[in-house]
Amino acid sequence: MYGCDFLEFGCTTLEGFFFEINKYDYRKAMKGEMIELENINHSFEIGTKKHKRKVPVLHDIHLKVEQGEILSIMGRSGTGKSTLLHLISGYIKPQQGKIMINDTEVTHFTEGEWADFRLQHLGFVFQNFQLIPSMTAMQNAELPLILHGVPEAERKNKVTDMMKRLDIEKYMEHYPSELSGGQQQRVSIARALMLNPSIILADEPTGSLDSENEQSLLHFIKQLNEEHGITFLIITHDEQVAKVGHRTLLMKDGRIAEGGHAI
Amino acid sequence: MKWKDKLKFVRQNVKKNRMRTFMTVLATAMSCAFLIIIASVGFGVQKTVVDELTADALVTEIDIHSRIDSDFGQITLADIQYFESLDHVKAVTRSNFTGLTMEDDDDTTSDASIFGEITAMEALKQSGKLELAYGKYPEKENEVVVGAHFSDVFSERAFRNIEDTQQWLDKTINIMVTGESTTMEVKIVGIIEEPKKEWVSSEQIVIDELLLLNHGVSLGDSQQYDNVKVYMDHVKYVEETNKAISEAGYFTYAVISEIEQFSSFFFIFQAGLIFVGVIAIIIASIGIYNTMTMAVTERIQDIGIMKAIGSHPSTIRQLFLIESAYIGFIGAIIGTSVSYLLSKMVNVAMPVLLELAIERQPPEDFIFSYIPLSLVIIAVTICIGIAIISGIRPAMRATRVDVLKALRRDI
Repeated sequence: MYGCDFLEFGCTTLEGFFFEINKYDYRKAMKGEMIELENINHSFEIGTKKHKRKVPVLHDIHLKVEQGEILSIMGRSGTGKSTLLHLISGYIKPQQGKIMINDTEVTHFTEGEWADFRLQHLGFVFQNFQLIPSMTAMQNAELPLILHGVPEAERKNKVTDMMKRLDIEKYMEHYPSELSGGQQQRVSIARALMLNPSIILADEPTGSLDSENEQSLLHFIKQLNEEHGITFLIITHDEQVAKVGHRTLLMKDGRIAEGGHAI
Repeated sequence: MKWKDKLKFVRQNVKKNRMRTFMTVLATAMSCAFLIIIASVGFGVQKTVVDELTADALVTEIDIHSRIDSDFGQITLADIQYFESLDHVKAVTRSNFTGLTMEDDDDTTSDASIFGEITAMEALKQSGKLELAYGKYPEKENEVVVGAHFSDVFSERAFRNIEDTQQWLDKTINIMVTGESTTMEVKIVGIIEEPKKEWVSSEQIVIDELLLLNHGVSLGDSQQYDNVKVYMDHVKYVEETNKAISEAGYFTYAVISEIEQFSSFFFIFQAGLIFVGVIAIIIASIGIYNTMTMAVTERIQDIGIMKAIGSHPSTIRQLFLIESAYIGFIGAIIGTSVSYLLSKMVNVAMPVLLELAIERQPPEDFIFSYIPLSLVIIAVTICIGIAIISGIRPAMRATRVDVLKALRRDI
């Protein structure tokens, strides 16, 4: 339901697409916990083999994120916000606690199970875009479709439509090094949206953008959330960016200092 | 991820560092060619020996020499009937050799002595052993065929002004069994093919035994045969039938048994040569391992991105294994093509080189290097197999790439 296909609207312009999608109030239609973290504790081991010591990063984290919510996570460097996002992404495993996403307990997922889950449910937007340099914008954007085994013809149509809607169809055959920061971030968003994820995890998404591209991206996030019902978790240092969220979580010394309760 | 996309990915990745890939493929191709060429010598010697053994003998043939009894008795008609009764026997040929006198009916020269092979013509035709260079198979009892060197019988003089055997075709001649007075008129309807071995002479005239029978001519004890051969309808029954006949009390010989004895020896010989060749491929595999390790190191960020967005570890592993197999496959194809060329060159150049070096010619039709399809299949399989094995460790390393480290993010 929330995973509505961009293409099923059959519109050819971004405006037309948003007009169609506005008919739905996804946030009203979809209530319930999308992400739930219970009693999460995590620490990292540092030092040499002989002199190892544990550095606690997250303490007793309890967090609920509603379906269709935009949650901004703020805090100084080293407060554990990225670790929190990486736990939700499955890049690291929690040492203690329980993680539920889309009513699925993912705490003890194997690497393979995480890979399948990420592909189907999560989209990622990174600060430095993380596009594969040797692939064109189009190839980068179609990567999730390739991994999902979508036939080539269908892939080409989907990517072309998506890139048209993100106004980067002119750059389809360009390599990342030939694109500006804003254009690269759009390619990375196209890639994130390609399999209609229910959650997008964004780690400092505006960190490498100028103010104009930053505003454009924030506007786009808001539109996707309002009109498409996608849940966003955004890590940022910037208060202006955090304002796009329905709720702001403040992390301090590995704990949730403010905003831990769902709206 | 579909196989088509995996292959596309691999091709794209291989092209990223063309020179390194080229050098690795070159090393693999050289080692594959080395394996094939060195083993082809073993196969060449085997082929020469087998060709020599089977030159004028069919592999489906069993030679019956005599009975195993106190007087090594000759084969009789009753024995022939026993052989014919065995399963999968296609034909039993038998013949007796005798001297014949050929009359010179136009009186240009005196009569000539020729060598006659009296046989059961129908069985000889069925056996497939009688191969004609010219003419047709005899259909009537007074039709005969002659050997390729039939003209040589008449030594230096031309009989009836005929010098070449081919000219005897469709000629009618009168013959007599030496010591008998009955003249038989026969027509030469076919010329037998030249024997494969150069030193074998084929001067005989092959006559159906029915002709002698109908003319009341006897060859001593006509119920006994000198030269008896059993022909099977398939080579797979030869060994079994040969054993059965032998156990029934006959001296037998089947060329296939000899070939099988040689085969065991050649199998060990060829396995040894292939083993030496495999060492070369193992050395080349170090190059493949190095190339794949470098590829993983260079593509750590790509791997990290793919894993970050949802690529299964097995997909990453497969991509690298396919890449190493791809290098092995291309190397094997090039290596095989090169070894075919080298093999041809060796077979042409070796006799010349030997003559120059030791002033001796190798035996006629000696094959120095022979590449059968089985050798190509073995070499390509070993090459691709070792390439895959050398790619396993780098591929496993790729699957263990830490996403966060690969994305160069501080945790």
